[in-house]
Amino acid sequence: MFLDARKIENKTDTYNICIVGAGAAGITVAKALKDSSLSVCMLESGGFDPDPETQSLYQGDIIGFPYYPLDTARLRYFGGTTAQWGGCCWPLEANEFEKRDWVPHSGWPLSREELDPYYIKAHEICELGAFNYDAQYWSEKADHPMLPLEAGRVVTKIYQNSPPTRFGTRYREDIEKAQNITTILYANVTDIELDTLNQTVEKITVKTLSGNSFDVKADTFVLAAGGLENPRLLLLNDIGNQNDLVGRFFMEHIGLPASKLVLPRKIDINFYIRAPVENTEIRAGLALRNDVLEQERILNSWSGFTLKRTPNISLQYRWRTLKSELSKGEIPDHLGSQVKTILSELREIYADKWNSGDSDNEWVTIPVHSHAEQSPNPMSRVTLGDELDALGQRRTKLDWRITDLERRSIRRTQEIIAAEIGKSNLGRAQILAPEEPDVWDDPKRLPEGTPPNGSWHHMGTTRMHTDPKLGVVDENCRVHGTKNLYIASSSVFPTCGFENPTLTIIAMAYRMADHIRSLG
Amino acid sequence: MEMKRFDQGRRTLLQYASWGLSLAALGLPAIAGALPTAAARTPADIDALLSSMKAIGQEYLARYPGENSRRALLGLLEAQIGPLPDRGLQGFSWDALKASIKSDFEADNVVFLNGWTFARTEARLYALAVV
Repeated sequence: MFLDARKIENKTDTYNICIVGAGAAGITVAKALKDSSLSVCMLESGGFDPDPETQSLYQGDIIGFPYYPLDTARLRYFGGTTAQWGGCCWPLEANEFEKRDWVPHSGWPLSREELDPYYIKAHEICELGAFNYDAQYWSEKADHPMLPLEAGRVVTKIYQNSPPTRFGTRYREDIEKAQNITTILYANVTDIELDTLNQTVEKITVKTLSGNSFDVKADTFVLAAGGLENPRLLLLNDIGNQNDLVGRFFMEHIGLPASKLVLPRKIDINFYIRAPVENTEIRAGLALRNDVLEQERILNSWSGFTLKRTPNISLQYRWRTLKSELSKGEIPDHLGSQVKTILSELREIYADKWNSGDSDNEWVTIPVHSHAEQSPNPMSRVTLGDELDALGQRRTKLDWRITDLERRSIRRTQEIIAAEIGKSNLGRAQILAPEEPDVWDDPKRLPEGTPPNGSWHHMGTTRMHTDPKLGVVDENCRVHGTKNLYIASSSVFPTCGFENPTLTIIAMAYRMADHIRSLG
Repeated sequence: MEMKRFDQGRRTLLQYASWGLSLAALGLPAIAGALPTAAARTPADIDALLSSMKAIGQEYLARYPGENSRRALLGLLEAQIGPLPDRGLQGFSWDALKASIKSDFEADNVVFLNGWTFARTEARLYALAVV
């Protein structure tokens, strides 16, 4: 059932579970609790479509490393940012859950193995293929080889591409029909009220941009508002911040044009562009072996080729997928984006002979984009600004910091890839990632292309740790010091790996739902 | 006289390199980025490759001025790949050159010139084109 908060006046309803935010995390928790004996209320700030006034609640200040305007870096309506995500899915690797002595503040209080069953569920909700990230397996399935690199320091790693699943449209009906779920749209949470012992959230206050207000009570509350809004809500209500950790350790995946590879045109690189395989789509890239990362004491990253997709292969896949869905007699919920992509690829066919320029040339130049892990840094943080939003709440202030470890890791990774390409007698590489760390701070000294930036992934700001002095939430994502306040989001990630976070956010949301059920 | 003989041999070596023998080993056409297929190749393409080679060589010598002499470069190169030919290419081991380049990459004995990554051996070979 969906309700419109603008039509609810001065009342207090009580539920078993109250979820704040209806993005990937919130919808996953709600779906996992669907048809249970628990009554669930999901509060969403927006409606079913983007609305500039609601979206403006996300505006904020940026005082650190340059970043996207905060109101453009996420979406505030039902389905959240899944309405515009690219669909890249991969789990964090086992070593990324572990403490790495060269990565400050690293280590999760759970293992990859523990999360695997939930990753499998996450695969289903994201409409992906088999839960298998072995590059060799997919290379054989795709019938496109991996680069013929000699055994060495570089390996191929792959991700799977979700259609991408737009949670707001794909799962709207599921949520609407669920007997035990009430979703209230246009509902902005402003106040979170604790009991006199400051341990139990008793109720939260909802306000709308129309001016009305009401309260929601629940046994358990889940903040699922994203890596910027979750810390904002905690800071606004002075909850969970007894050790001055809320908002700290903000991490992003750093993206930048990192190098150019020049390879013989005859080498098949389709596996590294996008390969349709069975019911999914695979894209491969280059990364360093984990023992090399340890030996070099650097962070993880993935280097993807940014050539245009080979149109005929991708087009065939997309057309086949679309046709299959239409043949079921239903209009797929991502029809618009499918058609748009197909049209765009048809245009590419006319515009380009293929990947890169002159096909009479024996060599092809391949731009390489680095997608890099950031280390947890307490000085990289979200705080509250002085300006107020339309609801009278202090806005977010982001101070994103990038340390020398990130800068060195990105550069060194490209050096090693370049050396391995040369060693394997495949070609040569020109590295664009700056050699001197301070170049990052001076856009004029950066090489061609855009400067380093984020990937719209907001992580770490309510980090997870068993020790309240080192984390905002415990191993079950419960806010330390509270009995019934949980967080479902990438904001709980202690480290972020290089992998896009959505699959892990969803896996963690499923895990949380299991935990909530176990509370009885 | 000795230098003249060397110059002849060096020119032949460089020409062989730029004509496509063991090009992948040298990496030059990769960074020149514009080597047409054999059927379409013209003398101008070879000139372009030689220009690239010289540009890299100049960059290398600017970065490592201590090697900016024939004697120094020859000494270093011959220590890695054996005697360089002083006439034609007789006796020159392409395999030794390739092995040395590979060994450089394996050992991280590389140089970064305008971002391009070269094995030390090949960079020195290009430097020979300008000293």
